[in-house]
Amino acid sequence: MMNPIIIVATLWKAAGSLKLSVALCFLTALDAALAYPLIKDSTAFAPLGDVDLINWLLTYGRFNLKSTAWFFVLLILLTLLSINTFVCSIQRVIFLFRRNKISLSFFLKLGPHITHFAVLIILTGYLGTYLFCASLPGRALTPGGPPLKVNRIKGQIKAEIFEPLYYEGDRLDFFQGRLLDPGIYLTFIDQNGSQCKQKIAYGQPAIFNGWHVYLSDFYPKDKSGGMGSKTVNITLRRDPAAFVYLTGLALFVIGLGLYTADFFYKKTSKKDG
Amino acid sequence: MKSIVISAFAGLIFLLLLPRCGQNESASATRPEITDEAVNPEVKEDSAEAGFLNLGEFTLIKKEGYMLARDGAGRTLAVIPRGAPHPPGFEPTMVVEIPLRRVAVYSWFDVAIINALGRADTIVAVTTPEDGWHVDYIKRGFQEGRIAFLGDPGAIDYETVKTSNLDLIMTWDPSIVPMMDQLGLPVLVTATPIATCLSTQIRFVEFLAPFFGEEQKAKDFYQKVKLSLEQIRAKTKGLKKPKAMWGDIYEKRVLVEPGNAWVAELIGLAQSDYLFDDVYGTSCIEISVERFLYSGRDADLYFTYRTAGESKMYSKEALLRINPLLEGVKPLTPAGKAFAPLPHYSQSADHLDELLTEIAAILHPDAYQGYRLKYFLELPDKDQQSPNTQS
Repeated sequence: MMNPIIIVATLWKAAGSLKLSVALCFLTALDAALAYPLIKDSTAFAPLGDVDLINWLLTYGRFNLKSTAWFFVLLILLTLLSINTFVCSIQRVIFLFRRNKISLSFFLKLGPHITHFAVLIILTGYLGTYLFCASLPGRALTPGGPPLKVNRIKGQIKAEIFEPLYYEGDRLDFFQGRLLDPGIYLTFIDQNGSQCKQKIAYGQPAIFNGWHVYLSDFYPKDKSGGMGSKTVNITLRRDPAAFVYLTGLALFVIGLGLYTADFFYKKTSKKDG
Repeated sequence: MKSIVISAFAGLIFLLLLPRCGQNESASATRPEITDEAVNPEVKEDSAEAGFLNLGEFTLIKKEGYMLARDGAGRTLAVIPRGAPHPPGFEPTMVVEIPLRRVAVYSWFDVAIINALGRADTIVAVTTPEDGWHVDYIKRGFQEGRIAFLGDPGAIDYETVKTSNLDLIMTWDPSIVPMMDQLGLPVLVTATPIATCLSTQIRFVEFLAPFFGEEQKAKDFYQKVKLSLEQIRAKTKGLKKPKAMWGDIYEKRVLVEPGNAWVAELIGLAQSDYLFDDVYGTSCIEISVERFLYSGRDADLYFTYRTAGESKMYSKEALLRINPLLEGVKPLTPAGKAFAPLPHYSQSADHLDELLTEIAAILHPDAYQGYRLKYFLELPDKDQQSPNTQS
């Protein structure tokens, strides 16, 4: 009977293999490439940000396999790639500790490994988001209309009047009168009645009581559109895992900085010596 | 190792190119996949049996003792039997008690689908005045005082909403939600930001059915429409493909049906080419006038949005008078054919099988010899009398 320590050691070595990394990267790219034509006409992914991942996999994912199978494969591949990256990085860091004295050059050499760990943290953060994020999509507001009451956010949201900025140039005739910036301001009223006003735009959410308020859509998008009614559609999200991937992103920047510094350090050392 | 990596990347590039090889210039090669699903949705039926129904943006998920309904705005409502306890985590206006007894409905399509379910008696308020209706069951409702006019969709009368004692409002306008929240009334948004595909159009009845407790009628309705689609496909198989366009030029805008809309998919299913197949987005999407006119030069058939009876537009000549720019659109010359919907067309989704068949008959008149149009008017070259007599 084989020694269990040898089995674990063999598995550990295989899990950190560089060949495995290349194969997994290739398969991940292949899977993503094959997914492109499949997701083009699919609406199955629309609720992915609103429903938790497990429920999505059991419903939308399971019953739309023609367009979602690649996503199941992607999850498996990303899991394997994460394990491979983790093991590989640990192996390399142990090797560095064994072979180097603690010095500036040693710290600089840690750069690539820090970026790898950062990627793992980012992936974990996104997984956490898809598993635990609370989302309230499709909430509509009329500027100047009644406030939106949502018990879960412990307050009310009111849309202020649009302060739109239209395209008035003459170089692009087709865009005449199109909205460049909706200039949407929301007023948040908490349970004590205190108010705060914040601007929202695509990619510029407002923050209220720990919830992020995203602009999903708005009407009208041009001077002549909207059939007289003005609407702002928002999505409310509370993401407990956001700090995880933000930490990962910060770590990635640090790792990248060390990697760049190592490059210049080596160049300078070569020149000097 | 190096050769493995090179071979792998070569393989990847080959696979990336592979899906594009089968596409022709109008991208209609992607069509059969969508339409097959519309006609043969066995997979979807399996999911319905498992308590999950997903139609485009709309979803129903069966839970223990209640259902979750995701509407066109992405809001999730709890649908519970009357008198059952409210599931936790849902605000009172996000809970709908079924079967519905009194509903207000904005969309003509929804009204017709409710009629297809045999529950037009539950409609007690609409946003089209009595003289805007061309279907008897709603006209009768007005005459009997059973149905009230809520006011224009942009300015509904909240007093009427309050006094109508409603169970639910079905609307395409999510901006009414905050006001309805204040009135304590649940809202179901039945429109989506992206145009409805053919599969969703013919199966939407299954989404609404549980709200009225009429699942069997929904199945019967769907089977009828499915049969008509199968017949269309069989009748038009192998025929020469006419080129069709659907849209209109207005004073400042050009609006068309995008390639992902149900009519575009139906045109594809009925062995025809839809000229705005590459346009994607909302129903009645805006495109450039140049693009409209460019496609118009190749078109054989043109469907206008303008309702024949209402815009007093009964001929190609009249249409050209309104829009001289349309002069370059081939179907508006004697060489082509143009069609306008009759006033009752948009209120007749309860006869969806007939609507689909009529569009197929317009596309392939040779395959439907002797077919008499009921929902569209073929525009004559010159002005004639009102078409209302033909309907």
